[in-house]
Amino acid sequence: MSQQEIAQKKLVEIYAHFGKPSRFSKGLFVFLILIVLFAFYALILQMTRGQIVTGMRDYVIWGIYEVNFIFFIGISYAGAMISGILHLLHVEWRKPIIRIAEMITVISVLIGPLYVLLSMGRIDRFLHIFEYGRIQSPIVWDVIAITTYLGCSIIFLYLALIRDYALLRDNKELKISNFRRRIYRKLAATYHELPLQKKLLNRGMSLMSAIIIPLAVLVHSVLAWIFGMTIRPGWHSTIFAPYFVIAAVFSGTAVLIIAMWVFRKFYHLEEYITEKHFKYIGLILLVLAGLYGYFTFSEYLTVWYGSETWELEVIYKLFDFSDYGAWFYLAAFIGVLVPMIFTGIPFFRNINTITAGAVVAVICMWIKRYLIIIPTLETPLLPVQDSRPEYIHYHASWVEWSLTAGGVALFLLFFMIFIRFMPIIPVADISEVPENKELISEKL
Amino acid sequence: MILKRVFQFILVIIVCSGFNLVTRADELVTPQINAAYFKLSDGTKRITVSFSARENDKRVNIPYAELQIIAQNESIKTVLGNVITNQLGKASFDIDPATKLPRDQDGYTFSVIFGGNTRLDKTSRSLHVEEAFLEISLVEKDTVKTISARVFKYNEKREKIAIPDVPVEFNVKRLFCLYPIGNEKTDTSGFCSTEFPSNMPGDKQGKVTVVVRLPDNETYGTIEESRSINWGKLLVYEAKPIRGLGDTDAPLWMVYTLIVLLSGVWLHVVYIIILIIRINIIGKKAIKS
Repeated sequence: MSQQEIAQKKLVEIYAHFGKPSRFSKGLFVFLILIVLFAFYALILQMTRGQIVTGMRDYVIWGIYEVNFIFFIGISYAGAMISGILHLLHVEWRKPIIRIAEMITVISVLIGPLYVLLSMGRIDRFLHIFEYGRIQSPIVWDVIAITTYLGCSIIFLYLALIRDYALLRDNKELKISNFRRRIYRKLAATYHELPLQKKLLNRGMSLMSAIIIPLAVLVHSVLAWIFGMTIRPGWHSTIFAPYFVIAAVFSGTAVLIIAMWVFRKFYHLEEYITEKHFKYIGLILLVLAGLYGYFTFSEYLTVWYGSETWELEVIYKLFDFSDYGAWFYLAAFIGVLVPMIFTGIPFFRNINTITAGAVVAVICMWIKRYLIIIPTLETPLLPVQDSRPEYIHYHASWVEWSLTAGGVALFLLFFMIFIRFMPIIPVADISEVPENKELISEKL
Repeated sequence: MILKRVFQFILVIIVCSGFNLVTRADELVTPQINAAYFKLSDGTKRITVSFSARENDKRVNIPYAELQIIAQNESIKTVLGNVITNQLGKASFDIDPATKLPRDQDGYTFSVIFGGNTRLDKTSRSLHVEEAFLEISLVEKDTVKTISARVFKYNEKREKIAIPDVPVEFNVKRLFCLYPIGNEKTDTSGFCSTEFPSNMPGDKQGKVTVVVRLPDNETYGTIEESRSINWGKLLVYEAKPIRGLGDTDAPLWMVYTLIVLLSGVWLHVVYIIILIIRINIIGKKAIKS
C-alpha cells in the first residue's frame, strides 16, 4: 500500500469519529451558545452603562479581563513553543498532538485580545492606538506583537493543514458536501505531494517554526514589560519577562494535555493519542513546573528580603491568610507541587493523573495572574482618596464573570467548529515513514 | 466533706464567671465621639468627627457609622444632616456659608449624635465655638514681603474686639500639604506678622497661595484664611528629558529596532506566502502536463 493510500485510509478512520456529531456534542454546542449569548447581553450592558457595571474603579483599573487576556495569550504557547520546538527537533511522536497545539494557539490568540477591549472605558477610541500610538509605549509594542503573532500562528496552522486538505479534496469515500469539497480544493493549493511541492512546504514549515518561537517569547515578554516597566510593587522586576514566558509555556502545556485527554476520550482517538504522548508531554510539564516554581521562589524571596516598604505592603497582602494568603499558597505551592508529583513520580503517572495535574496547573495559573494584577493595584503609593470598600478592594461583578465564562465558551465553540473543517490528527504526517530513524525523538 | 466544699466552691466560681461572660457579651460598648470645628477661607464651616470605642484596652476606629449633626441654641434646634464615617472612623460635614445657623450669645453650639445599634450604645458630643475672624494682608516694602494677620471677634454692638495671645500659623500651600513659614502669637491689638521667604518657588507666573491659620483653638476652633499672590520664584521647566520615553518622539534606536524586527518577521511571512503560491503554480502545471 502506498503512503497516500495509507493516509486516505487513516483519514476515513479518523473522520468516522468526527463525521456525525453525537447527541452530547449537540447539547454541549447549544449550551455553549447560550453562555456566549448571555455574555453578549453582559457586554451590551457594559457598553450602555459603562464600566460602573464592573468591579473596576479608579485604583483597580484592570480586573479579571486583564487576567483572562494574559491567561489566553499564555495558553497560546501550546502551539507556538511545543509544536514549533518539536517540529524543529524532528520529534516523531509530536505528530498526532501537533494539530491540537496549533489550534489552541490560534483560538486563544483570537480570544485573548478581546479582553483588552473590554477593559477599555472608551472602546470607540480603540483605533486611536494606531492613529496616535507612541512607539515607546509598551502597550503599543503589545498591539504590534500580538497582531504579528496572530498572523504568523494562522499561517503556521495553514501550512500544516495543506497536506491534509489535499487528502480531503482527493478522498472519494468521505461523504462531504460539494461546497465543502470546493473549499478544500481552494485551501489545498493544488498540492499533490510532488517532490518540489513537498520540499517547498517543508521549507515553509521549518521557517515558520523558527520564527514563531522567538515571536512567542517576544509577545509574552512585551506583555510582562507592560507591568515590569511600571514602577509598582509586585510588577517592577527584571525577571518578569522570563517569568511570564515560563508561566505561559507551563499553562499552555497544561491546556494541551487537557485538550489531548478530551479528544482522546470523546472522539475515541486512543490509537493515535497514546499514553506515551501523555508521559512525554507530562515530562515537559514537570520541567516547566520546576522552572516556574524556581522563578516564583526567586521573585518573592528577593522582594521580601529587600524589605522595601511599598513592596512589603503587597508581599504581606499575599502572605496573609486574611487577605490573599490562601490563594497565593494555592498558586505557588499546590499549582507547582501537584503537577510535579503526578508527572514526576512513576507510581502516580498515568493518563488521568497527568491530566488532573494539568487541570490543577491551569486553575492555579489563572489565580496567579489574578494575584499579579489585583493586589498591586489595590496598593497605590498615594493614599486612597475615596475610602469606600469598592474603591479599596476589587471584586469582579457578575458582568465580568459572565464575559469570562463567555470567553471560555467561545474557546470551546471555536474548537468544535474548527474540528468540523480541519482534521484534528495530521493524517498526512502520521502516515509518513520517517526517513531517518536516528532522530532526537527516538532518544527522548 | 472538704472535697464536697471545694467542688461547691469551684462550681460557684464557674457559674459566676459564666454569668460574667454572658453579661459582658451582652453589654453594649459605649463609643466616643471627638469633634472639631473649622472655618475655611471661603466662609464654609466644617465639623470633623472621629468615632471610636475601647475594645480589649485598645482604641478601635468605628467605620461606616451614621452620625447626625445638629446646630442648636436655647430655643431652636436645626438638624444639619448626617455623615457616615470612613474606614478610619472619620467623617466631615461642610456647612454652606449661606446656611443660617441658630446662634447663641457669642457663637454656635453643635451636637454630634450617634443613635446606637446592636453593639454600640447611643452617645453624643457637644461642641461650642465662639465666632472669631481672621484677616490677612500681604504687603511688599523694599523687597521685604510681609504677611500680617489680625484675629478679632465682634461684640454685641458689632465692634471689632481684638483677640490677643493666640498662636497663628503662616503657611504656603504646596501640592500635597502646607509648608510652614512662621509661627507667631497675636499681640494685644490682635495682630501678628511674619516675613515671606524670598526663595519660595511658585508656579510658572510665580504664584503661591498663602494660608494663615488660627490652629485648633479651644474657644474658636480652627480658622483659616488664604490668598494667592505672585511672590514665589518663577518655575522654569527643564529642557527636554534626555531619555525621551515620556516625549512625543520615540528614541531613534527604538524606532530602528522595531522596524528591523517587524520587517524581519513580515518579510518571512511574505516569503512563505510566495512559497504557497509557488506550490499552487507547480501543482497547476503538473495537472496540465
